[in-house]
Amino acid sequence: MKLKVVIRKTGEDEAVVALEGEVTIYTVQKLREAFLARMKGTCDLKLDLSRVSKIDTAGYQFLLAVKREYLSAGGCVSYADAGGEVQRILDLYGTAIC
Amino acid sequence: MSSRKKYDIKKARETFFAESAEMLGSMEACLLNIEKDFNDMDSINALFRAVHTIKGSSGMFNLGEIERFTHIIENILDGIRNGIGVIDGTLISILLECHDYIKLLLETFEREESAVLSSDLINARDDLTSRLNRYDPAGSPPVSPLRAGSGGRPEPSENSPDGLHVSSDHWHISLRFGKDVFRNGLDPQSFITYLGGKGQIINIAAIADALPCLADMDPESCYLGFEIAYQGAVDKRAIEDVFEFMKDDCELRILPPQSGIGEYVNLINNLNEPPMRIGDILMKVGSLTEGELRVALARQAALSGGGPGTEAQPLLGRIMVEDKMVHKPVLDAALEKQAALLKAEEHRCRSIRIDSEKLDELINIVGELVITGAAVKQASESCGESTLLQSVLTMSRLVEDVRDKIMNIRMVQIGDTFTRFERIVRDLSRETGKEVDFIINGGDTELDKTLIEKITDPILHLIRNSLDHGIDEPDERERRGKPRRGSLRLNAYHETGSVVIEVADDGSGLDRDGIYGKAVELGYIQPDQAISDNELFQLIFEPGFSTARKVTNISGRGVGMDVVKRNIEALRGSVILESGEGAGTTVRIHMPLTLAIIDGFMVQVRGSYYVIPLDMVREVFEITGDELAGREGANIINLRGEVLPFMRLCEFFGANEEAPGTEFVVVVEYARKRAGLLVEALIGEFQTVIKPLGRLFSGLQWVSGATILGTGDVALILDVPRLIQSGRLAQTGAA
Repeated sequence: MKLKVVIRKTGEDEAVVALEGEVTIYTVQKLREAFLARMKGTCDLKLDLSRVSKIDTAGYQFLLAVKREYLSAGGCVSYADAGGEVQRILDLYGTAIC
Repeated sequence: MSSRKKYDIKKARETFFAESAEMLGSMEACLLNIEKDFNDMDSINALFRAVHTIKGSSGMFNLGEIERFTHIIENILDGIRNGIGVIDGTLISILLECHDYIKLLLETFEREESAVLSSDLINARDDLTSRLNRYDPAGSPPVSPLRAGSGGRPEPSENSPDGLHVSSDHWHISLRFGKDVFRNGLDPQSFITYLGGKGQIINIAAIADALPCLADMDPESCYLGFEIAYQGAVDKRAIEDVFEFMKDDCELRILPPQSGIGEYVNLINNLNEPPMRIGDILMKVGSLTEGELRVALARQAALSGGGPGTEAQPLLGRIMVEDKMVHKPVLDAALEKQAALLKAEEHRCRSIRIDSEKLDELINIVGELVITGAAVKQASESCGESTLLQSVLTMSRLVEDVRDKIMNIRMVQIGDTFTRFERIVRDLSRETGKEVDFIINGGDTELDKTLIEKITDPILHLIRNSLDHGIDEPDERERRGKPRRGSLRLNAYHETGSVVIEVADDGSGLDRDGIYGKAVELGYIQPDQAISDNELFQLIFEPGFSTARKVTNISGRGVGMDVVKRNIEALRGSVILESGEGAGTTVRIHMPLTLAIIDGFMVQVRGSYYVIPLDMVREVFEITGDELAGREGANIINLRGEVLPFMRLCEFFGANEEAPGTEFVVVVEYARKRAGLLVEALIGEFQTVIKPLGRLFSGLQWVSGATILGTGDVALILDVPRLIQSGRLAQTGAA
């Protein structure tokens, strides 16, 4: 709806996912579907969050879920350019002890 | 989508203002109760709850101004509840002023979300704050809500039998959210940010253990929890208040600074995550040291029956522990909180808020249903099928029930409105130095809600009048041989199709000569005209008519009574004034039970149908042409020895045909006056949906509306109150 998801494979086991717009309760369902449909087998994930204009706790929870999913599959997750909004929620909640 | 969210907030704001207004109402009522009895603990507690609720919810809506102000009051009340402070008359007066001030604030912020306080408001605030501070048990700095008795620190917990306390100097807050918290439009983010604004979040750990893998996850559900180490000059309630708004959607556990280890053991036991994991987190956020954690875990393990260091808990063991905990003495605050919650819950069960528009729609539809029902009934009667008739009869009864119930929804007891006047009487009698007992009767009389709203101002005006002109100063009363305390009665009761509201005082009564002189002066009557007291007194409802020798700021300017009368007549009501010199004045307002649907009594005149509201019909009798003969000019009949003025509806509506031999007299009564209406045929009871007449017919004086019959014919509804009060019947002497 108000979220654009751009998934770019950058290597065999590597992908960059750029999110643009709102990562909120209204968009997480769509985001999850996008991940489930297109991210099979990818182990290293780079999340570009620089153009996230808004994020709420549901969005934060989703990022946590993604991070845990990839970590448990043996990959790694890095946040490239957490934009102001994302940084704010990460500052508030801290990165979870996963 | 974001617009939906905004809408939600707007809704919530509306609810907030509506609820705050209610809370203010109860605040005022409580204060007035306490004024009568300083030991009325129920009222003091209710007062505290009202203020507390306003404070809590205004915080949620970022109305810091209100929050800070109510906080001061809350402190004082808390002190009184705990026996530290005392309540006295001066404090009550101040608190009543505070009530007015909060009301102003709420109105200001309701009009404009980000309103800036005017200098008047700021002055009022500073004045009230400084007067309040004298009563504050905690002394000045307004933001130090710690109870005076506890020496500035929450008492050590009762849950640590060995007195072992943790060393950490901050609060520990444990939060677990319900699954639907996001769907309910709540974002924990804003609450935690708000919490952070009131103090300092030292550490926070998000607990995502319950989070399933992506494939199984419903991202709109919440799986999160937080453990927070928090520092701030707050008390437990203040923290609870932060989460007040989402209390249905989260589990909140608060441990005060330097709690007993036992409390942490309880916390570990109550959370769903494995003890080691929780312990780990508690240590990481800094609420427990490593040593304390070891003690806590060991004790926890001992409690649940496992050996030290057991990681996975046998489920049964935990349940047992939790069982045991239920019986442990619970903290006072928790009990109180529970009681308050229960009360709020009860209240929510008792009443729901509905948009009045929805109700109006429903009433319209029921109106159509009644009309259609009448048509079906008529059709079934003409076809004569007995089973059909049976069903139609049952249906009619049900429709009638539905109609009554619907109309009842709009009915509100007038008592709440009446008690509102108590404050005004109190203030005015102080201002004027008079002693007045305010007595309310019939507060449970029900009246349509819109009517009640519209009638409040006129009643208020009458009360002011009574206090200002009616009741004299105590000394003056004594001289006249009356008790020093005057009495002002507000009565409400039902009377033939109308609700009567009486404002009666036992004051000096109206000054007949003064009014007479004024009436002559203004040209309403001739200098030597004879006029009955009643007729004379009605003149004070004329515009510009005032005999008050002194104009006070309360009343006496000669505007008002005419407005009262106009307002009441606009509602199809009437107002009558009775007074005896030295014996007091009674003003009686008759209000029709004006509803969109009424029980009507249908009559026929020269082939046209008319409906008379059934509850104004007293009796019906037959009369022959002979009996009427020779009375053409007089229009009066003898009804069991009483004079009954009557009118021929056929003449009235301009039909000139020859009257039949036998006619019927329908005796109607309104506002204690009776009259007979001469009609040709009685049709019977009829459920009537009042359809207003268009503007084209606004000149019709004695018709209040029209209705559609089952056959599609139109019947006019007679405006009995107007008919009775009209000159035509009055001059033939109804009094």
